[in-house]
Amino acid sequence: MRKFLALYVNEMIKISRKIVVIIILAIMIVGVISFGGLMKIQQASITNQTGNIDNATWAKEEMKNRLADFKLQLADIEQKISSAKTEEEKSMFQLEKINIMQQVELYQLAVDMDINLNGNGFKSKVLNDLAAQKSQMQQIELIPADRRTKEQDISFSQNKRKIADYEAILKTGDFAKYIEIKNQEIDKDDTLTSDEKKLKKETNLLWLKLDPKGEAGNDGNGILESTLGQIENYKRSLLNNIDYTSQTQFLKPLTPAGRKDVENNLAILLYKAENQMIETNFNSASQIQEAAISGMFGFGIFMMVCMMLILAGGAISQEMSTGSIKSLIISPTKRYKIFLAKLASLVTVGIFSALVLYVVSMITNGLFFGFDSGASYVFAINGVAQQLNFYMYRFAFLFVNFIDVIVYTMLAYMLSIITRNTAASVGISIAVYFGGSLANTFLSLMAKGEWLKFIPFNNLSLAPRIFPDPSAANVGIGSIFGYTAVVPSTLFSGIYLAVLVICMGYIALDSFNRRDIK
Amino acid sequence: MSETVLQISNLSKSFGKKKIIDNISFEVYAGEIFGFLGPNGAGKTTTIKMIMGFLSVDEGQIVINGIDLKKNYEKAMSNLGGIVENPEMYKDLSGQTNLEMYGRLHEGVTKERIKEVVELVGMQNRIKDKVKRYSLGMKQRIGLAQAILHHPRVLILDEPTNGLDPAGIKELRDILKTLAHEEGVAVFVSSHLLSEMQLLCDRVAIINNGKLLGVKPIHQLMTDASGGTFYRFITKQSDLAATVLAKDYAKTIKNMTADYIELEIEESEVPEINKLLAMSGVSIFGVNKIETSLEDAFISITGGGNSIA
Repeated sequence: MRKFLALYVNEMIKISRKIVVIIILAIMIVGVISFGGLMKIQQASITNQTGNIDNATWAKEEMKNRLADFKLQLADIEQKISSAKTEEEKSMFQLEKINIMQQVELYQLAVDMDINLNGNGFKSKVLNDLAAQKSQMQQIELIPADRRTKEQDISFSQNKRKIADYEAILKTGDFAKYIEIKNQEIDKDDTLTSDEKKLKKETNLLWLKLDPKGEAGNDGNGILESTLGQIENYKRSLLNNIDYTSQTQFLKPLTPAGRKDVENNLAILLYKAENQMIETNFNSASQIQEAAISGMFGFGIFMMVCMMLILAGGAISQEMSTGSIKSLIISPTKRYKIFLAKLASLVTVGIFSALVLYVVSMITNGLFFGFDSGASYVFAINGVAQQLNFYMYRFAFLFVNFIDVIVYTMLAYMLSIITRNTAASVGISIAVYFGGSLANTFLSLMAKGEWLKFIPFNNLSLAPRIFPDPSAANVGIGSIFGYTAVVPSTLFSGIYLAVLVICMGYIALDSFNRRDIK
Repeated sequence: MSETVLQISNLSKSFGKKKIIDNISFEVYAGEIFGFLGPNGAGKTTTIKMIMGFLSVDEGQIVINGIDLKKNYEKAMSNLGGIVENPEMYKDLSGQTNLEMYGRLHEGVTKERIKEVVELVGMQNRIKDKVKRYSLGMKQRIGLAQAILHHPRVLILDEPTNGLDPAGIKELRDILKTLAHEEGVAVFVSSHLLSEMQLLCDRVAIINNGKLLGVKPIHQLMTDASGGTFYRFITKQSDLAATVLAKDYAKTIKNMTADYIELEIEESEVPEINKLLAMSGVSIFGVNKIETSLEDAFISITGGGNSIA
């Protein structure tokens, strides 16, 4: 152990004097800070945009245009009525006029109350409902009162009451009242089962809770609506044990694993809803921040891998070619200790650079976007949601990415020992790092089967599997060609990678132990 | 005889099918300088690399200070110091750092000890410089400092005078003699230069084509080598001369060709023999005195180095 420590200290001294380490760390730091700065500039330019019209203004203009359009149509139809030759023709135009007048009334209201009828806000729903009720009522009104059926009478009075309600809601903007009315309607609907009623009412109440003033979605986005839909779908899946979440047209029963996934996903969304973590509107600032962090990490890890491959690829071969290995071999240490000390020093440098990357990224993020601005990560285990704060989450995320770095470092180290040629081992390992996943994609296109699980590249990149992003769709090159990538379970991949690293290490150690040094 | 600190028994090594070292055995004692002499490619460096753990041992045993290298590698190696071929250090680090790093791998190497050996090899002025700024001679000195840093019982040096100027060689010789004769270190030096060995070594082993030709004290090797003075009688009738001389001088005939016959005789015997040959009808065209030098002896022992491909 004393010898190992001495060797380790020596290796650290050697690495610390290597110019490549200093250069790459410097590039990493400068790159991360500049990337953060660029994204900050991008964010500022989007939020302060003066040239472009934002969605809400655009919607307002659209409403005005539609109104003007319908007014023109109204004038046109009035002219047609006045110039109609037969009574029949006249009454037909009259009917059309009623329709157009309804539209004019609707859009006039929309313009007056600043409501986007194409949007997903609650007011646009109310207004649309109001228009529908009015149109129903007018249809019944066309029938003389004494010739109406009993149902029509009931419907008429219902329509009248609803119209009054909706108009009141529009006047006061009382979103809670709207939800109340909606839920009453659900209660009265005899086509629904009691479970289904409960489900729908819960969704409405959640909506009220997440967006108390009913402001979300007026600019046309459907973010909150789709989230609510997702929650309702998950609940319905669990209720009926049918997978409503899959994209296929044919509904399938939930598998036990699928049920677990749905439970976890539901728990995550409910947890987010509980803690005000659900976005109700499109937030470009936070998305740019996310992009900035993943960009900083991506660049940093890239530089880190380059540095590690250069160091590991030359670890033994460089000492062989310069002859400095002699002073190691002459010293009274067994070769496996030299092997392990070198490996340990490589891992130390890797961890050190990962820490540098983490600290620099977090400080850059803090300075540009605010230290308390990062989104925390919510995950669920056995249906119980848990929260990982932003800094912990990013730390864990970085170190899951570090697993890949270790695997590639081991490959370069093994090649360095076996080939005894620095250029070959650095070159081959960098080629594998960059070309491997692409080659794997093509292999997956050609071949099918369980054996693909045993391809190393299918087991690397654990981060998206350990920290899945439910909001992000995975669009890779594969989806263009229409194949589904082989995704082994995280546990399988973990064991696979451990075995891979141990095997490479064993081959390298055996070669280093037994081969002559000439 | 003082104690044996390096014992090589029945050592063999093959690269592929070619046997590079063939059943070598010898012993090195404490307090002596042991020369390992042989032409280029004889197997000197291979033997040294086997002792130092660079190469695996196919057959045989290496015992350092009573410890079998195979059985307790680290303990055996801690009694050994040396330089193989050229001294190679970490070029981007200073001589001081190089020595500190090497010293860390041994027990009991203090800062004072490093200072001591640096002064011994006369490098105290340049020790903080990076190794890449050193000349070959300076690297040799630092290499030597590193090799003796941990008080090894056995010091192995492979062609240590390479790159040294005459003054440096003399200095090295003095250091090695002090180490061996006063501190009791067994110094094992390989070389292809016999003249160098003559000035430095107490005993010499001669190796050629992977085989050990013999181990002798240096003075004995010298007398053996320069033991006789030859007289070459130049004649076209060497066969006749041989029959004439067969009677009294048969034992002195060392060499015979169609052009001459060589005899190992005293100077005083030359006129007698000349007369005898002339009287027997052998025409003598001349008599040359031939003295064998150390180099000749070396070449004759090692077969002239003709085997080097």
